[in-house]
Amino acid sequence: MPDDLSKLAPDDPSRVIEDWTSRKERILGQAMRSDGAAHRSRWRWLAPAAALVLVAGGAAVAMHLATPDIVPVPADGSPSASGGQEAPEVRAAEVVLLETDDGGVGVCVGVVGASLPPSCGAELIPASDFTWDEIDWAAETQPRFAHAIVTAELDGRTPVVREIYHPDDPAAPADPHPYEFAYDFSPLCEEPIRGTGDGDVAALAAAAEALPGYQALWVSSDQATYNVAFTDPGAAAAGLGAVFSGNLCLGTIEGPAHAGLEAAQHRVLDAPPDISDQLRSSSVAASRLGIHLEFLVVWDHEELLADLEALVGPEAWTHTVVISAFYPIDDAESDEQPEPSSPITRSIPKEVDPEPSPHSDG
Amino acid sequence: MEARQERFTLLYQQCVDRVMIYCLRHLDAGAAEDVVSETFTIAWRRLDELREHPLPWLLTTAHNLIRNNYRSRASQRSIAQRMTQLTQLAAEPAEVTASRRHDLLTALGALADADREALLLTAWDGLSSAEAARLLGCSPGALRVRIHRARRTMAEALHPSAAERSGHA
Repeated sequence: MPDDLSKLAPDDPSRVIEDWTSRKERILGQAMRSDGAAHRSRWRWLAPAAALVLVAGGAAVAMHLATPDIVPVPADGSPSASGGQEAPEVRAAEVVLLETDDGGVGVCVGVVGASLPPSCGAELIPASDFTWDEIDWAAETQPRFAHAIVTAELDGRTPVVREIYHPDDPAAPADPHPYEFAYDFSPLCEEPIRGTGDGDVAALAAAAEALPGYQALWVSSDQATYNVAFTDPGAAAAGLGAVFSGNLCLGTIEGPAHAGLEAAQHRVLDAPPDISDQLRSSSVAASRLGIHLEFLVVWDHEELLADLEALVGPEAWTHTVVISAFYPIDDAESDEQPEPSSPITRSIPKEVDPEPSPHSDG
Repeated sequence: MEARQERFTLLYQQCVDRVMIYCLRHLDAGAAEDVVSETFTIAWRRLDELREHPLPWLLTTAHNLIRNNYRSRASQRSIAQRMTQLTQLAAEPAEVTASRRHDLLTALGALADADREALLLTAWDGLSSAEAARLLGCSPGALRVRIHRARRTMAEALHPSAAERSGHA
């Protein structure tokens, strides 16, 4: 579907604008007749929202800014032409805090073992500014642990924890767009064919995976129909009915072959530690809605996304979803802010220049 | 000055159609032309600061102008008006049948505005995820979620019988 969609990309405004050729000549002339001197734009602030959060048990006061509304926009609407320094982005994540070997607070992001006490499937991120005395809801096991929502800023590729909230704290920043995996395991065809072979589903899977363009195999929710998708089902799958004894649907789903996505997945898993260490899980997921490659990462900063894109390759990248454990908290559609309670915080009060240079990014 | 004009003319010729097409997704033809004119007037003033690949900057400027000055004009357009213009604008490649084109554009029109815009910035305007995220003022991750949601919703719309059967309509 998306490939066909890309083919519909408009390339000619004259489909809508009459006499576009002469009109654009006129616009060009108008633009170059304007004052050509580079000018310092007037800058303004769009509804800078700020809330004061009292530090639990301390006298310090931290200022939390709603970042989307404080992005400076020049009066002429133009962003910085040359790029520049951005304010650090604050994100949040639902995590498990675990006691480190030296008694400190560690943050487990992503994969948490379900046993008690929990174990972390990845290296703990130290929250060195915090102590267990401050996390009064922690379970007194050995090691200690607690579920929490934390906020953090990025230092290089490592999140630095700024606040820790009880998970039920109404002031804890919730994920404005939680990711939900959508699937559809309905039959791939209206009328399944009846296999003439005597093989079971393992034999079907082995035969299907060996064929070019294999995408996915699933059993329909009614447990009665086995579905096999190929990029070109007509060419690839003609012989499958002779292998299998059950009801079979053959067809195609949106996306490339499984092998291509799997190869891309392994390129990422085999990448150097500065990339692979930021992965928490990966999978090739498929259903009738399509096939895609999915990565759960600690923080999907631009450098990591660029690295992943380069490793995955352009074709597979259009069928790749990167889920970030640390979610942006500046993308909420609602302006409503819960009454701040008392997070444990090590926030640094931020001062923002109300009139930044036009060269600062906006 | 002549070299400056030459450089700007080249930039203009390379990008003006793309900027106009972007504006036509949001505005009627008259307002879109105004925004294109303002965008390139700003680009002329700031030419010396522009990078080699200026399209993302131009689209972001147009986006900001629409948001700041033409928001009401944009919101006054009905879905039917927007869809009519989108259908007129979209290419008609030989390898996509008329009915397929119709189905795709109908599914595209049914998306939430934010999801459709995220998808089209990358699929039609050719921006990278990072460039599109910067334009929309969201994180790259949020953008990718929007794109994925858009693709998923379109896939569901293009396979309605399957979605109904599975309860995911």
